[in-house]
Amino acid sequence: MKVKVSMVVNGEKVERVVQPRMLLVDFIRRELRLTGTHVGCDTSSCGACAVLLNGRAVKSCTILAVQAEGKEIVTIEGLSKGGMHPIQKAFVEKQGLQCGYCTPGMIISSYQLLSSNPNPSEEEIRKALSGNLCRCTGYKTIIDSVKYASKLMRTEKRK
Amino acid sequence: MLIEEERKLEKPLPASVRFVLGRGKYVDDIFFDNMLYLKIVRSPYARAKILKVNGEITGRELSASMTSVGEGATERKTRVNYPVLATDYVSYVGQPVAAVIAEDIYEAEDKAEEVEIEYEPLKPVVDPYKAIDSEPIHPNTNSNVFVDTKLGKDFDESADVVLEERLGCERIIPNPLEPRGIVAHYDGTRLTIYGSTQSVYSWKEGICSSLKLSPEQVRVIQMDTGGAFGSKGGIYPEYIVAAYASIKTKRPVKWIETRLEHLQATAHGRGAYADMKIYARRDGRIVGLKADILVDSGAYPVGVAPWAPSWIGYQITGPYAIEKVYVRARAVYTNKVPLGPYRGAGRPEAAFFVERMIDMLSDKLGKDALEIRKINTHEGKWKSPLGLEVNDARSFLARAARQLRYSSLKRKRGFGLSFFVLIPNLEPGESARVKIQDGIVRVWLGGSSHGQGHDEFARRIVSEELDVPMEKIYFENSDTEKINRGVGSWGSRSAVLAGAAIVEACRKIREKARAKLGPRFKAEDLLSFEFDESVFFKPEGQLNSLGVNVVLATKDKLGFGRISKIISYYDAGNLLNRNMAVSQVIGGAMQGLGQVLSERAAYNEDGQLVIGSISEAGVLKISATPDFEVIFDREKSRMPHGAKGLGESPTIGVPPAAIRALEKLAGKWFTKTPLTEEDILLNGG
Amino acid sequence: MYPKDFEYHSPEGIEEALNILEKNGSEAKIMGGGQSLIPMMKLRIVAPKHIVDINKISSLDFIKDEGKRIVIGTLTRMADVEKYEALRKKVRIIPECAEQIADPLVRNMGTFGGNIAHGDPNNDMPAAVLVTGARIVCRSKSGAREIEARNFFVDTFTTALKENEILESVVIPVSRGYKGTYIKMERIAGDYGIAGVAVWFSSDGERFRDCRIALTGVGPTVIYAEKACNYLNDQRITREAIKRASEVASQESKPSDDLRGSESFKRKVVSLLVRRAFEVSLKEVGSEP
Repeated sequence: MKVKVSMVVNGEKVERVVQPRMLLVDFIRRELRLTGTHVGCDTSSCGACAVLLNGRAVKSCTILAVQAEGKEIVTIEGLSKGGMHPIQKAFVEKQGLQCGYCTPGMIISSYQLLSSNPNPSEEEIRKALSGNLCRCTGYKTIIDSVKYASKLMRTEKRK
Repeated sequence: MLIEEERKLEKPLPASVRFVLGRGKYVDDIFFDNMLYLKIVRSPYARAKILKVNGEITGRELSASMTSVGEGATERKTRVNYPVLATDYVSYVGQPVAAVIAEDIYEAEDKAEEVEIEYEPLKPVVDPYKAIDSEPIHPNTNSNVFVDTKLGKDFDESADVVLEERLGCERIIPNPLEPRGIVAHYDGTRLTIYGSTQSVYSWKEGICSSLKLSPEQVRVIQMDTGGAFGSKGGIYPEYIVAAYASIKTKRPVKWIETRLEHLQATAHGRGAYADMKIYARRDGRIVGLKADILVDSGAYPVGVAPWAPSWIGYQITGPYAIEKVYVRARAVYTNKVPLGPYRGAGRPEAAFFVERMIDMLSDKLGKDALEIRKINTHEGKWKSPLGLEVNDARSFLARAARQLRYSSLKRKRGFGLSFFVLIPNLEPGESARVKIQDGIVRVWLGGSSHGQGHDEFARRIVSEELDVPMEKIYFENSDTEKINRGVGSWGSRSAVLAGAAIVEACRKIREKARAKLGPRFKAEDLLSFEFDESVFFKPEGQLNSLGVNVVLATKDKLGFGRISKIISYYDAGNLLNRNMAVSQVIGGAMQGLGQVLSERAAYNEDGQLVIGSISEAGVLKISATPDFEVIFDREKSRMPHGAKGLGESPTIGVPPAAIRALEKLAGKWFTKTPLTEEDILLNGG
Repeated sequence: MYPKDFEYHSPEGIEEALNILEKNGSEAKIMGGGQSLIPMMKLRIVAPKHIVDINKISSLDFIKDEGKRIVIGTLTRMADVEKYEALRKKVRIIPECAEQIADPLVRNMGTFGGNIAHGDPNNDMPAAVLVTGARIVCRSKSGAREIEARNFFVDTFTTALKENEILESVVIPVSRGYKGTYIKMERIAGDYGIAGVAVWFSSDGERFRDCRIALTGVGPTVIYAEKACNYLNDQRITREAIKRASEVASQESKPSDDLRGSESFKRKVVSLLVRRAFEVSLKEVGSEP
């Protein structure tokens, strides 16, 4: 059985006919070839597959593509459409990554946090990123990156 | 080549920029038009006879064996054959038995369910100590003990104090965020392999040897590699099957590990135990040490298992000057996935064993943690009876104590100190290639970066040596076609060896440039000509470095012990990039903490892994992140760029200090990692 | 880690959904956020022939403040429950529990009804709704019925919900003067906590009245610690009384040995959590024991 599914991904309308069992992450990676979204754990523990669904960060390995029917998806590629996003800049500058595999998910989660809370405390950052695992950095530089991103974004807004 | 074209198109951004943009190129990001997907069918039993297999690809058709390649690989004569696909019997849960291929991975998984295999389950051997006297798990052997060596001379000693304890580090699952994976592409004449790897050379050697291919027929290209920690240095059955399937179908074949497969079938690390005995004088001076080491090597003699027992034994004295040392070192087969290297690979185990005994001695004698360590160090160079060189441990320890403000720290209740030696794996050297063409400098290394930021230090060295701006220097992932000979990235070796090889390659280019352009050439001049130098750098002697960790623990609201701060004081030589070094230390410290607090590849008595997710395996979450302080003792090494090893230091130094800090709070003696939550519930709740 | 194929239904109204359920019986499974179901389907532990995706039934996604009660629609995302102001003011244990479930990404997708209907003894929300005296509204083609939360959780992955029913909403009474909280012992790593405790009670300033205690993750299903509640009712508010109640509750728990700890350890944790939950709740209103 195949079904038609359409959604808006990074601002563009896409439509495919897929098996209903296809996971959203596979739709994004295999059908759309947006490979910045990663599969890390399969059990919705690690958050490497995080994308924004109608503005909210979700784990695309635990959502069926058909569940996103008619919704708006933003992936890591979509964040930099108008040039590098301040969060992306901050992760580079503060060494918030090593192997890079968890990074897109970390940035997506940070994006949701900073959209609703422009100046989060360290505790709020830790809570917002509690669904994302990183094996390389020990999270310290990731926390520093989010703090720095929040600063960058607030300065940008004032301009 | 699709990938190469893409690489050329890609504006060569630094790796970190590509990663934040989602433009990393990992192996699962490869999509060839007519690609097939491979799914491995695995044993659900720890030990069983195979009565029947009916599958698409089975061991009858693909009758090949695994060879030992990669970190710590030793040629070892053994009667135990590790088949790529099991035919007669299986020896661990997750062992590959058959394989299927399909146009789509969903379909491949459906097909895998159709494969018929009949087993006759046997009683597995799970506990390594029980394995010593259990019925051998392999038919052609008469014991599960397959390594039994002795190091040093046995001795009799009647000391003031004799302490004995059985200590252990349970198995840990490496769990890089990116699982293992491969794309094999046979075009009718040559096999091109794209992989997530620490070493393209190990892969090439392993694939050529298992499938009896000549080196000219195989090329291995490293994709961006999303962490490894030891798990991606060697070769695995799945890679051989993927290569075979591609040769058979003449189509590209992709295999990407699921996390559950990673938990079950990627080599675990640690898994080492020791009966330790120390002999000491009343003033705390240790006069003798005996260790009976047992390594839980799993089902086959591959990976580090044959080498680990004596490697741990070799460094069992740590940085201490102990005159008499006697080690018995054994490895046993058990019905578990074969053991492999995990960040530190033997070094953390040895440090854990000796540091635990030192702390126990300090309690016994009522001595301060620093004092008892100091009295056991040597001033100047020291060579242990087993050959380990340590350079002036006494003055290093004194410097560390000053820098760490030891006298104020030690007043805290939950306080742990550790002192250790890092032995980088220098054998047999490493390669680098530097090529100038079209105004661009390209650099390749023999070892493959998997998160340590090789591109940063490599470009920086080239920039300094050739006086060329960073933006003109491109770093390329490793590729057997680009450098003929190389080794791999493990054992705290890359910055030291590959860094030295880059320096030498650059110096050769400078020499040639001088001959061509005269003594005072400029960077622009250099870039307008073509140069191409490959160097295999072979170091001489040992290059060990020292480190100290202090870990602090406090009690939380519910009454549990929690780690609040980790302080590192490491000799890292001349730092190539301070920020990256700090990041490496902090990340490694967190892994060391995981070993103590949560990480465990737990099996039940049926040999079933009872861990079902990366979280259950104990990978720490952001909530566990304590405060960090990193201080470097920057004494240059004799390498041309002055570097020393660093990557594994925190996994060596943090566990003994962390367990000590919690032990002081709990008021009870801890002997193995990981602790349970019950262990750290203070005052029994 | 890929689900088996299935037939996909995406009804736009509840009647249509109920028809599909009626037709396919045990072969159909309702999918809300899918945060529990999809992982099980990926592991192929379950392989329903029919998936009834209720995400398009927007009438099931609501929170209604009706003054004396707050009704939460089954499809309400946990993240919305967490942030709903009236709940914070009137039945704070519900959002306090919500924000401890899984992680923010899972809560953005996971639904309120799903956490309850799944019948997982490790799920947090059952304990919280149970102590508030909530009623679960289940609808089938023949109409709706309300089940006391205390009677809803039958066994591991088994609830009073019938095959042809949809958990439609949960009715949470607003009881003035009640206080309490949900506390969970998180593991340092791992997908589930070791145990969780919900307490909800009233007092006249001196004595406990109408105490309710429920326990997560320490039995085949959520456990209502009835004896501990009975003991505490009409007791003076003292540390000793709370300690005694925590010990009784710990005896009422039925944990088993597993990766997360031994049976005896989990009992200790239950007792620690009960004490802490009462202390925190009392501290907030300034009547410390």
